[in-house]
Amino acid sequence: MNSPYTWIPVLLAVILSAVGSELDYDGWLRLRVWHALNKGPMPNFIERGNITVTSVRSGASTVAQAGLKSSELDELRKLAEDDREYRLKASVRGSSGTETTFFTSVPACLVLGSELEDFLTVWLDGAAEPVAVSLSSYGPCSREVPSTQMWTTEVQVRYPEAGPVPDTATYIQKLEREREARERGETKDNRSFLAKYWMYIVPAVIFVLLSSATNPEAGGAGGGGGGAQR
Amino acid sequence: MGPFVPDLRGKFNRFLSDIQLLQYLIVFFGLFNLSLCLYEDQVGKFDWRQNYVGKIKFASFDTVSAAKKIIVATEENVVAALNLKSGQILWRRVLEQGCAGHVRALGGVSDGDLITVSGGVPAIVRAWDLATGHILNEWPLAEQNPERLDSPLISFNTTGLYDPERIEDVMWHIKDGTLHHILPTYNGDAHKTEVEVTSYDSKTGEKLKSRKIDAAFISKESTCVLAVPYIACIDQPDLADKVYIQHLYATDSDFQAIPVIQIFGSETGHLSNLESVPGDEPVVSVSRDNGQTKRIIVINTESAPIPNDLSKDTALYITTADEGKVLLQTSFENQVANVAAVELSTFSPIPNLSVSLSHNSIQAPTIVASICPRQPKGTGCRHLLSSEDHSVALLQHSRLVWVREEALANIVAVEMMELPMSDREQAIETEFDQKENFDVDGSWDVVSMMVRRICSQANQLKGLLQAVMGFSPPQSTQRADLVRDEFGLHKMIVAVTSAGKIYGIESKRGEIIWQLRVKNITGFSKASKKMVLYVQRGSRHFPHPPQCALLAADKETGNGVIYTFNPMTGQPLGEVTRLGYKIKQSMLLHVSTDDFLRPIILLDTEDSVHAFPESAKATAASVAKSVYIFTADQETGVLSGFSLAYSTPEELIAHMVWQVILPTKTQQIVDVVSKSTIERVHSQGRVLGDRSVLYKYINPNLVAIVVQGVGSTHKNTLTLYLLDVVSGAMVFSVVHKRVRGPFHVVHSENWLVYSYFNEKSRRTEIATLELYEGKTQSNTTAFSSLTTTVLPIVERQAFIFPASIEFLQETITEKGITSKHIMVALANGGILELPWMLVDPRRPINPEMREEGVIPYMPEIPIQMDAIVNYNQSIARVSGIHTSPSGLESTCLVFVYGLDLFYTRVAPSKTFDVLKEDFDYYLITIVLLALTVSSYVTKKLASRKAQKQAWK
Amino acid sequence: MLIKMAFLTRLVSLLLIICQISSVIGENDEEVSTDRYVIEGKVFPPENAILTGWQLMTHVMANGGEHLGYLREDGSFTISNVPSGSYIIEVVNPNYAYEPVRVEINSKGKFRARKVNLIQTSQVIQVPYPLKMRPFAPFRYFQLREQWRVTDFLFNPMVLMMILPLLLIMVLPKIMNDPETRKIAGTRSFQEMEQLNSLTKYDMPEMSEMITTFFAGEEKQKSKAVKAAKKRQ
Repeated sequence: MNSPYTWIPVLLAVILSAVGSELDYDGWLRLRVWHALNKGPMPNFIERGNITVTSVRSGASTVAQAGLKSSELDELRKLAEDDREYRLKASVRGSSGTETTFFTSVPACLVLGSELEDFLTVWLDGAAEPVAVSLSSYGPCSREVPSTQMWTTEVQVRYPEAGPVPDTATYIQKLEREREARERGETKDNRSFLAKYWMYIVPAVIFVLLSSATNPEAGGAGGGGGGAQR
Repeated sequence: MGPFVPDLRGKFNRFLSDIQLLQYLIVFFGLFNLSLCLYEDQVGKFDWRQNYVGKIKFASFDTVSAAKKIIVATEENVVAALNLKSGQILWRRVLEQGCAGHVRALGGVSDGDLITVSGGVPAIVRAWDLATGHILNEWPLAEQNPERLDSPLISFNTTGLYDPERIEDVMWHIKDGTLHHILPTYNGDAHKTEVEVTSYDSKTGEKLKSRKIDAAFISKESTCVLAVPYIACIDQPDLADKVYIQHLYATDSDFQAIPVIQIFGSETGHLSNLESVPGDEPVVSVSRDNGQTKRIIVINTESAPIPNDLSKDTALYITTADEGKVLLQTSFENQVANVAAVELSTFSPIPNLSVSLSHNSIQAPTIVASICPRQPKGTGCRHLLSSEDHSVALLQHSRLVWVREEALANIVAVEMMELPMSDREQAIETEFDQKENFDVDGSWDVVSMMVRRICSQANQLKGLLQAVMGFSPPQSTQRADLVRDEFGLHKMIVAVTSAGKIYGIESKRGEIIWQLRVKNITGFSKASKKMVLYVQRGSRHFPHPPQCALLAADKETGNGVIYTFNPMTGQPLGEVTRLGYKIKQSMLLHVSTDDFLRPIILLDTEDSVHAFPESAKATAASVAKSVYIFTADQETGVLSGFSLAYSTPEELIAHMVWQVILPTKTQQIVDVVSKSTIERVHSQGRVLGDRSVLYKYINPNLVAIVVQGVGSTHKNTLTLYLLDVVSGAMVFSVVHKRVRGPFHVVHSENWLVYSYFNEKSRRTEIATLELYEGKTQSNTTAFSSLTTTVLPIVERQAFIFPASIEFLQETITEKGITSKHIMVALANGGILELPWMLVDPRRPINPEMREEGVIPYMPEIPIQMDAIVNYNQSIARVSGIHTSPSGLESTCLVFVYGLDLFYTRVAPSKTFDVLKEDFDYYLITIVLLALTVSSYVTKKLASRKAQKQAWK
Repeated sequence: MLIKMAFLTRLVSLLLIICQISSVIGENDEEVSTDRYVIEGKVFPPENAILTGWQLMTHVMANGGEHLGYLREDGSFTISNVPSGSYIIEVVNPNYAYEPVRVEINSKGKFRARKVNLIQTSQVIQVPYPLKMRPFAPFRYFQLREQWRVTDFLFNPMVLMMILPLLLIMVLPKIMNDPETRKIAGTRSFQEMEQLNSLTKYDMPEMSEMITTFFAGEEKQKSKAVKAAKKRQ
């Protein structure tokens, strides 16, 4: 009974349905990262490291990159002094096998200011294909050589969130409830005036009785015609 | 008393909730009041509408009906009847948009019917009532399903029909109530090539007969034209040496072959450009080796070429006058159009039918219909001219009767500009200007300043006195009404059309003030025909003239073209600049040069940067550090960002700072939507129910990229990416499954509103995203894309919209204090003013979570009929809405364009800064006067009475 | 037990596959089907409207203008060239509202017309086919201008504010006035004068006093009235 072919359809079905819906299955990504520390419009990319995202959904990743040499740090400082940007090239290979290269940059002074701490965000589309890699650094802006030479990189993976849909269910429920309430209200409303408002009438009557008891002469004042009629 | 307490509390709670309900009601009714409502007597007071038909494709004079008119079918898929005397539209029927409504043939007018063939495969044949425009019958050109013939439901089988592309090869001929469908077929085998002629009863759709005619001369590369009742063909251009002619209806006739020598008199060269000459006689024209001349062949049983050279650019038409056939040759030189009439057989000129005229709106015209009725005074012709610039004109007895500016049916770019100051204000301006100059010179001449002051004020006084005494005002170069009004409500609409024609339309009544034409330009991409219009200098920099720049592509090379002009007068400012490169991206710089001109930065396809005008390079370089450009390529899905930081005053250099790639395998960019550059946001945050502030994420560099899924698995998805185009950082992305276009997006302040069609629920929906920074503001003074790294909080909600949407646009006001409304162009021709409050994503589903000014969530957005700003004046096929702030903060000017034009103004928060149009000045004056008088009188009376009392 | 499990999974997988195949077939079916249908119906003219030319002002649109139909003289219309699918049929007239109808054509060419319910899309209330479209209301694009009416004017808060004090001043004293004193003609005007003066002298404390006396009982009020009468004389 446990022959292999019984399982094949299951697998097939799972894969097929996964493709049809939004990022339902997990995948991995492999990033190769280069950076440019030179000035000038044409970047001169040198290798920075490799990053592997083992699970797209959880964003778990391993980062392997070498630290900056002091000469490179100096170059970075020069970039920061000129208010230039630190440029990065990332080549991403996903589960589907295609490799895409992205460029991103961040002001060099922010990288220095945050002690070489940066965030690399990989954005995926609905089909789990990478569409963007963006580098960011919190800063603050500094033009000093940092105390460390090692990168502290945090990798984040983001994918499209499901779009909103009109919430008809609650509305229909509400309508339903209102209708029921109306029906209930109608049945209740059949009671007489006294039955409905006795809780307001009784205190009022008690009040009137009490006040007239203390001042028996004022009993007739309830007529309310006003003092004008003499 | 004890047991009552909980019950009482319950009652009290209910009472409270009732009060809450009441509050909702108040808010809701307040909202109704918020929406702009017109009174019936305000119709046409601040709005106007103009109807158009588009560029003429087919035209025919209706001489059969009692009321003479012109029937036209146009490129915009419109069938209409025009008044012969005035050119006004008598009736108009707008067919389906795009390919499904293309008019393929129009005919039968001379028989008293109107038959049109439109659409793809199967084409729809419609018979219209000539006089009223009602439909008489319609039928598709396909076989009725045989197995369902007996069922009451009609269905058609299209399996036997040809490829949808072949519809372009089909030739149509409508005559005597019969529609002939003529299609050359080639099976690859030269001997089996034939022409299939199928005849239908044009009114009922009954198939009369189908014949096949051998036409061995036709190959796949042949060009064939119909010259009823013949078909004429030539081979592919570098092989053609004969014109083949075949009769279509005579069963036993053989084809004729006319060689080059017979047409041009010498044997050299190949034939090209075979065209049918429209009119009453089977005539074709043909030229040799793409030369500058062409000759015509009159076709009958013995076809005869006419050995007279005609210019290639001459448009031909054959009409009947006095029983003879007349060839009309229309040429256009030096802004003068000539219609030369010659007798077809003899080529002898007929001077009394020849016309020459010059008019601003007639540019390279062709005759699309002509008729020469015999009248007591002698034969005179009526010609309907259609120009290259899409204008339509009627020529009667060599006199221009009317002109219609049909180019306005296809506007591609619009700007609304403030009108210039009046002469008097300009004089004051000059005075101060000169004073400034004196200051600069350092020579303080108090006396001369004084003299000038007195002079100018004396002039003003003189002007005032003249105005008061009723003298004629001094001669002025500008029209008296085309000056800035105090509230900035009167503006100049500059509209660029796809024909390359630019119009200046004043906004009060919609009158065309000036028009200009730029030859040989087209839109940047074939699909959208988009051109870009920039206002380089506004009208506030007297004495510098205002300046607009139009960016387009050259029709032949595709290189960039820049044309500058004065938007107030329509005067060109300089020549048309034809650039030596293709424009990939352009932007208007935020700084201006010394003469208040804002330079344009251009990025070409080689990623090098140019400034326009060239002299503004230094200005551009001075701010280059903060200038970023981004590009989006629809074909490759690549978006790149460039910085100009390495630029020097001598050379502008762009270097790439980011690149994002949307894989084209699964998706395609549909639209890239950025915010309006003139937008201002007044409030930085939103006060919540607990009195804390939620700060808005207002990023002016944020751009929404609308992406549609392609391929089988992702076909019906819509993905929206929000991208910061300076830093290249993605901010947010959202995906909708099982939805399809049309997509419309509005991006403003900190929110996005977009519409799509939900395939699953089969309804149009509007979704909103709203971006917030959170409870703290990262930078209170200015926003910087490079230092802001916090991702915004995104509120989102979707609503059902009970109508189809053609266009969305937000209102805009001077300072952004007035609340925003969204102008929605509906498919039924209405323009709805939808308060943004109704699509607020923070509309709470749970009514207890209520905030101030937020109405509880309802899934469906109601369409209030009194929020339809164009009331019953439907606007057909809206292609864009342009909104512009006026001088009043409360008021926004709205210009809707498409097949029709519509202009109005809206006040989203009601006119809080100006008295209403219908304010009763008399009543308030009378009341005030009466009060004053009565108080005075009573005082008198009272004192008299007191006096009397005192005497007693 | 284990055997049963395996069997179950197989069943489930089979079901899954069937679902997918059917969905694939469904999609293909939509694309391959080349049959075109004609939606027919009739639009009824709005009552008490000017009848000439309403056909010209009206057209019928399916799915927001994807397919169009035009009216014949008698109001009937056809929308040709419609592939199978679901269509919202709307009558477009600038002056009258018509209720839209959803027409569904399945791939076998079966027609079904039902009411459009955008919120509860699964709810089916069938309507007859061929369609009969009747106008249900004229569009109200305009706000009604308020007309001047006497009652509106009188009940205007401003006017009420003016009239009520006037009434209080002019009418109240007359009611309060002793009818007997009125008979003395000679002193009448003087009395009125006095009365006016006394009324204008009425201010808040006295008013409250009056109210307290009113609530306190008739006895005191009477004495007060007597006092006032004495004062007058």
